Amino acid sequence: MTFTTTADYIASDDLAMAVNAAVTLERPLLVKGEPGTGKTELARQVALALGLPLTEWHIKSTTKAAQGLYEYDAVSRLRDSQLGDARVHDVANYIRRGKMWQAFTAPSRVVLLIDEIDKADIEFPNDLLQELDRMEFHVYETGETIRAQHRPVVIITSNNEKDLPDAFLRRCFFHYIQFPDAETLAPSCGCIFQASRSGFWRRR
Amino acid sequence: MRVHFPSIKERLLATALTQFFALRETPGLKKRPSTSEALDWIKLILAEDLSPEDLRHDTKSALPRMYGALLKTEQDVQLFERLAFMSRANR
Repeated sequence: MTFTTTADYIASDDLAMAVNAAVTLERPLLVKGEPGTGKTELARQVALALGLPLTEWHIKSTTKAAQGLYEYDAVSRLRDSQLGDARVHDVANYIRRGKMWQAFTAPSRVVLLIDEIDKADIEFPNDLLQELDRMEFHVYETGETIRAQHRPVVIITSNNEKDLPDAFLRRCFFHYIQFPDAETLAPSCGCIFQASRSGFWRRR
Repeated sequence: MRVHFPSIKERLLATALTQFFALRETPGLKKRPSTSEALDWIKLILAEDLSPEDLRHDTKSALPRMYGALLKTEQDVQLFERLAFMSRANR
């Protein structure tokens, strides 16, 4: 299970090394770089190369870390209690699973993409430290602990809008994607246009 | 280190630690690597089966092998590259 350049994606030696190092260490891979250097696409290509399904979690300025774990839908439960719905007696019916929960309980190992982590507020990465480190979390409403059956390959991208906290950086393997020089860009273009000629087009 | 890596060769460990401390003492780093970074880095060196010579002479760049385990921001990577380049030019 190693990652290299594919027909659709040109990875520099450094980048391929970084992916494989992060997989070896079982640490999240933190990818930074200018917009349009293929950070998000990297996760898709890693999933393809390793033959694993991809779970994507796109972060917005309003995203909270807890949403990636689960959300408790108290409003629906209140409504159901008014209507006398029997489901109301089991709190588990009102727990919505987040992306991390899905990734942890997937039947096989997955690649988990946490896209644009710098969009969220500064506490967001700190709130995920424990979960990413130990790959488990506690659901207070039901009292169960969700543990990853297969440790996901975590890829985190950042556009550098905010600095990430040191405690978070300490746990990641870091890679900065340089904007490609002419030598690297030429085969990338070739790779796209050849694909388009054969009637197969990949948006990137 | 020996608790974590009982079978590591003496010379490799010494070379790796020398490099690690040199990098840690680089003035102006935003995030100085700590113990956990050193452990990660050595784990990778062992996984890749690198020799002390591999560590010493990185052919292309001024950066140590597997530097992503040690340097965590692009500013630090650039700073370290520049300093290493300058120290080479002075030699």
